[in-house]
Amino acid sequence: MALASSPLRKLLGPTPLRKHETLWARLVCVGASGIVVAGVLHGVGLGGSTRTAAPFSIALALGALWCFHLRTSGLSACWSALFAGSLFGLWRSQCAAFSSANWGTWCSSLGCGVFVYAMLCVLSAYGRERGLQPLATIALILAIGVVARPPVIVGCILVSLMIFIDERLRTAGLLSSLLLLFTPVGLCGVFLGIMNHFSPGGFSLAEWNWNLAESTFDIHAAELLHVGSGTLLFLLVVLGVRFLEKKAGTPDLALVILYLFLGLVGTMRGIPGRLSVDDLRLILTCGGCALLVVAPPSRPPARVAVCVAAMVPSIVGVWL
Amino acid sequence: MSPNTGVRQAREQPSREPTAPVPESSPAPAVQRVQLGQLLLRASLLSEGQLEEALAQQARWGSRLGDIVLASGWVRPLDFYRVLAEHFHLDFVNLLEYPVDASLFESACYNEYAQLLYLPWRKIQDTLWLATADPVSPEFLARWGNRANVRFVVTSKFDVLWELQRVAGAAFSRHAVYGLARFDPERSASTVLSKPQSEGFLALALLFVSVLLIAPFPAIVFLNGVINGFLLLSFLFRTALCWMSCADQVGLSVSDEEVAALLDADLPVYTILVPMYHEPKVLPILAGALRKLDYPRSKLDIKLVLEEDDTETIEAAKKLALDATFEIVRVPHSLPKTKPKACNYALRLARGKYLTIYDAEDQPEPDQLKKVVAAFRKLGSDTACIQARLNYYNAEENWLTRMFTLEYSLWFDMFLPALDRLRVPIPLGGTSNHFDLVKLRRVGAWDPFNVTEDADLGLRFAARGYHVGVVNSVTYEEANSRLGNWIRQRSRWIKGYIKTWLVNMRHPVKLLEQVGWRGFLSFQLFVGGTILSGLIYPFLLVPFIIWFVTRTGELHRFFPPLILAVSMGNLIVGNTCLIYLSMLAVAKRRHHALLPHALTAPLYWLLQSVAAYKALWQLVRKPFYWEKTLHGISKFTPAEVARANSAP
Repeated sequence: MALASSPLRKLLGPTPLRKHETLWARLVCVGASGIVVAGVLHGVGLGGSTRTAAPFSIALALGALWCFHLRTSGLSACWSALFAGSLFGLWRSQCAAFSSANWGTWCSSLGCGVFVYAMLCVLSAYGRERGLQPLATIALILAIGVVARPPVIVGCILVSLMIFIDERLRTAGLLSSLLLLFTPVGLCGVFLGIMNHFSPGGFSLAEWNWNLAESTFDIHAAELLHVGSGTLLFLLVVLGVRFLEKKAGTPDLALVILYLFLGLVGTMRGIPGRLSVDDLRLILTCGGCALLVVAPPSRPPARVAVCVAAMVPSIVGVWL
Repeated sequence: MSPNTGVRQAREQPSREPTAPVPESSPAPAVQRVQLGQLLLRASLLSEGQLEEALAQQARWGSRLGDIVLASGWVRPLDFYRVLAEHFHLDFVNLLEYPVDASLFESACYNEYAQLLYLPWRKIQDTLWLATADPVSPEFLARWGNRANVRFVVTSKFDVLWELQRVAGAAFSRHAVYGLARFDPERSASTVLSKPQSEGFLALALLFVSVLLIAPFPAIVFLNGVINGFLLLSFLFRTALCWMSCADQVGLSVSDEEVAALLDADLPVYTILVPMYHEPKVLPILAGALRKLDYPRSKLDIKLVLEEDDTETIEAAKKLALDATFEIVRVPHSLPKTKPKACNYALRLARGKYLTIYDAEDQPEPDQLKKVVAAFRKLGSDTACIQARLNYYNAEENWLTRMFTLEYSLWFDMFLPALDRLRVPIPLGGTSNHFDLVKLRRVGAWDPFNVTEDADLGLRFAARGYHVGVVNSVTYEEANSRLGNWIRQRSRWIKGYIKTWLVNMRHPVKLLEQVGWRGFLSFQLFVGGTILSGLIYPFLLVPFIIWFVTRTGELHRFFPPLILAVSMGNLIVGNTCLIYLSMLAVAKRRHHALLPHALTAPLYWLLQSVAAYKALWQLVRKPFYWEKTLHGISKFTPAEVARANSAP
């Protein structure tokens, strides 16, 4: 009992979000959104050497948002901040990798990461509650994903098909199941495809990344392992911790499948959509963060292990 | 039974005093019931088996034997009331032969007459004679029981209601039409646009025209942006509602166990209003469905509300030889000739604790009334109405009925439960809304000048701080299977929505205070969005088609990049939402055969636009005209009628 009431326990133990924290949370969200906008504008507007400020701003915003999400999932404020802080280096290095790219590529890569993050969160909800809502959520998220890179959206479609189809086939027919799962993405894809195809003569849309004419792809088989310098280590630790704590489930499987799929597709030539090693790293980091949010590690050693794994790339970078 | 001399004299010569004794107090109920049963047996009106069954039902339902016997249809009402008079040693009077003295009526007591089923009959030498169908009602005895100069005679319930309508029908009708306009004029749609609204709209129009003349393209771009932004929000709001409703536990759910736990003896009297106009064909469907209701029949107060000039439906109702739980209410001719006016009229005669409305072709699930009673008990005392879900029995008839079913599933299974969960105003559906009668009267009942009186009532409840719930019980209706009929019905609905919006927006700040910012926004996005999406949909589609066909760059001037993105977003999000949300709705209902048909929903929404423009036109030309929807035109109707007739 003494331990239970100790200040350290109170600080680190799981606590629900308190009422006064919601105001704080709103401020964090608004602030983080502001930083993202400022970062993007900064990157777009200034260019050149000053562009290094943008990755920093965006990494800061991502860290703040993730910290808030961790907090809402029941992790204490202290641990949430610790996780977010330890991952900051990884975020920053990944954002910095895009400093030479244009803002469209930035947004697209971040969008892919956020898309995968959201998808894994919903898949974990599906693990807790079977029904129409997770299916609808996935279907709607997939629809938003039409603006992501083709390999990512195709990978997510495959993953959702593998996970949902069996359950749906038992309650509805094949056609109904496919319609329920893929109607939004299909319709959005068709609409955007039509518009992109015809846009040169009329409405010119923004440069969506769904550009089927592009076919360059950057990943080589050897580079896939090279990803492991930081991101893969972080991901392996997260998966390992979840496995040891018996929390591994559908989202873990989905992330592994997605990684293998993206890696496999990445080595092939002539596949539409550009996906670089940096994109892949960002996607995997977002995936790892999603797994931590849906069920944060319960034991302090496991939490420490995750924090250390997240900090390794930064530490190694400093040492080097 | 021959009337005693006194009453006979009273009938013929009102100056002579009748000699019928007046019961001093109510005899012990148990003794009464046995005696009444014996009297009915002695008069060969009831068999022993029927009496035993009635007594068993009495023990279960907690009703009086007389009510049970009448509800069973074993005894003709006239015969029953004669025996009842004999039982209480009173005289029986047939009011059709010996009408009431209308000068004795007090207008302030009309409701009391209808509730307690009595009328002042005659006054002879300072003695007031009351004709009652319920001489032992505690309220009646408390009011009149100990008066020295008051005497009673027994009459039939139907005679009381008939005479009450004969004498007070004109007053009822006036009240039905102008009640709300007098009670709460700001909430009545008797005036389409209030003066400040007219002036405001005129000022806005002038301002826009002026800006259009000075800077035409920016003006159009601005309007384009505002409308598109609002529509996008409306689509997203609907998607959010639908997503919420995908969770299994959304909406008020009453389980079978909760229904089974209700004691019949504790159930209150339930009034059912069935307003009809020229619908003789479908009457048997409703009668059959109402007979199947799992509710003590002696506690049902069913009123077929018919216009007095609708002789074909009145005759059809008579031919059905309905039992005494059914009453025919003849609504006198007056304008506007609308369903809400008829309901207001019948409301004066309602005796239940709760009241519901069914359309002529409705088939409620048998346990619906019990579920609603359980729901009222579950929810707080601020609950004024429970809406049951509506769906169609002829969904598979043709494309139109399939689309209608998709739309109704979306509306009643997805949108309304989510609105209920958010605790924001719910625009009620046309039928199967179950009211707490006291609260319904308190808000002034239906607005006869509004052609979607149900939606308006939902808003009025919210403004008064009452809650409207949505329960998990379904009423099956006949979907419109003909295009012309569908357009007529839909244009009336949209016209009613526009009126509801205008009435509620007479004082936007007041509305905001009453329903809160969440309710206010939801009202704008849901009701306003429904109106606007119908009107704007062609304008979203046409530029896209023009561009698609001609690939012209001319439209660029009206669609700067941001507005282009929102507009395209509306087209994509709007259409995807329309299609996908409909799919989710029917998937939730497990009506998977309809899923692929949802892909054609955009065509259906074009029809909606046609109806929206007709509604706008009618709002100007005939704002109070009620476009009658024809029922009984489905090819499924004969089968449903046959099924209803063959039911025991």
